[in-house]
Amino acid sequence: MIFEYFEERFGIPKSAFKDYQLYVGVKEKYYLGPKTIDKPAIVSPGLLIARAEKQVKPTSNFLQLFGHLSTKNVVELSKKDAKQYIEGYDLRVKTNAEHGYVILSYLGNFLGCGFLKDGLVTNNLPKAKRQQLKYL
Amino acid sequence: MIPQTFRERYSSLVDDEDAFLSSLQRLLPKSFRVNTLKSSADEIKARFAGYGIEIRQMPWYADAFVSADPDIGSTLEHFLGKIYAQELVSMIPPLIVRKELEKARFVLDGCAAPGSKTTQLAALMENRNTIVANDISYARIKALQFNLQKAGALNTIITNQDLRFFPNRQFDVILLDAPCSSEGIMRKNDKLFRTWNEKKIFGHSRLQKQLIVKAFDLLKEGGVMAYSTCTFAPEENEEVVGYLLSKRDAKIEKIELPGFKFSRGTTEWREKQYPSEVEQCCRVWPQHNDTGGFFVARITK
Repeated sequence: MIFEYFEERFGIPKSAFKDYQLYVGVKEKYYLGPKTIDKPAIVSPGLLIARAEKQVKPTSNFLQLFGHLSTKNVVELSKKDAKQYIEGYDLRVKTNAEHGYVILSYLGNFLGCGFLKDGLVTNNLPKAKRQQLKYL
Repeated sequence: MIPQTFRERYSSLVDDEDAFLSSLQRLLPKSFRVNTLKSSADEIKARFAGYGIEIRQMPWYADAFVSADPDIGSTLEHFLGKIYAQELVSMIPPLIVRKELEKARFVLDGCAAPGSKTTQLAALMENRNTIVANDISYARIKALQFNLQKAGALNTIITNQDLRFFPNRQFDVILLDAPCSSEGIMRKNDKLFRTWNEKKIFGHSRLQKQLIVKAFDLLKEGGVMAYSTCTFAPEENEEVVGYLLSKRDAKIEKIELPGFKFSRGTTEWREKQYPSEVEQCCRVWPQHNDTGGFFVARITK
C-alpha cells in the first residue's frame, strides 16, 4: 500500500525499492530495510519512510533520499523560501501541485515534506532537523 | 592543564614528547566525510567553493576533508546529510576493512553509537547487504538512529544489547570501537584531563578484553575485524589485542594507509611484554597528522 501511494502521489516507481524489505512497526510506522534480518531484539529495522496512523505521511529523510525519482507534487522553492522552510516556517507558494503532501525542493535538492492546501505549505520538517543555515 | 602523571606516563612511548604535548593543547580542526549515499566529493568541492569555504581533501581518503571554517554545520549539504561531521581518525576502521566490505553479507558494528563509523560502513557498502548496528546504551541509540536516518542508511538495523551477551550469529566483518578512556579526544574536550586517572584505564582494559574475545567469536572463519580505541594507553590497546591472541587463534595483519603517518604498536610497556604481532597495529599520535589520538588493529580468523 505504501509503495502504491508513493507511486501514485509522487511518481516514485515501486522498482526503486526492489532490493529492500518493507517492515511495519508500532503506530503504523513503515521502515525500509535490508531483506535479511533476524532475531536480536531490533530497535529499528531500517529507514523510517512513512507514518500511516490516519493517512500516509512520508518522512523527510525518505524524500531526501528518493525525491530525485519523483515526477509530480514537487514544489520548487526560491532560496529565501528554502531557508524559511529549513527554519521551520510554513510557506505561501504558487504551484500546480495537488492538495496533500508535497516534496519541497531547492536547486535539485529535495529538502523534505510539507502539506499543501489552498496555496499554503504547512511545514512537516521534524523539529530536530530545523536549523538556521548560513550557506545555501 | 595536562596532569603530570599523564605526561610521565607517555614520555617514553611517544616519539616527540614536546610536539605531542603541544598538539594536545591545540583545538582539533573541523573535519567531515562526504556521505556517498547522497553526494560525491566532487559535488561537495564545487558547492563549498561556491560558498567561499576553504576545504582540504585528505590524500589518504578522497571522501575526507578538513576545514578551518567553524560553520560547516550550517551548510545546506550538512542539513541534507550529504556531509557528516566526523573526526579523521574515526574514519580509519571502516577503511582498513574496505575491501572485505565489498563482498560482506553481514557486518556488525558492535559499539555503534553515535553512528559515525556505521554511516561510513553503509556508504562503503553502497547500502547493500546488512549491517547490524549495536549499542548497549538506549540513550545513545537515539543519536545513532537520528544519524542513520539522516545519512539515508537503508541496509542497517539497530540492536540494543550488551555485546558480551550478543546472540550467537556469524558476521563477515566486525567493527569493535571499544569504550575507552578517550585520551585521544582530549583535543575536543579538555575537561577530560580533569577526570583522567589510571584507574579508569585499568577498568576499561578489563571490559575490552571481554568484548574483543566475544566479538572474535562472532566472526566467521575467514572474516575480518577492526578493533579500535581513541586512547593512548597500551593497556587498552596492545594488551587487549595480546589478550585475544592468548585466548583465540587470531591473526593480526599489517595496516597500510598510504599518505597517513602513524606508529606501529608497542611490544613493551612498563614491566609488560606483548606479543610481537601487535607491532602490526596502527598507533596514531595527534602530532603526526593534526588529528586526535587513535589505535586500530586488523584481526582475521
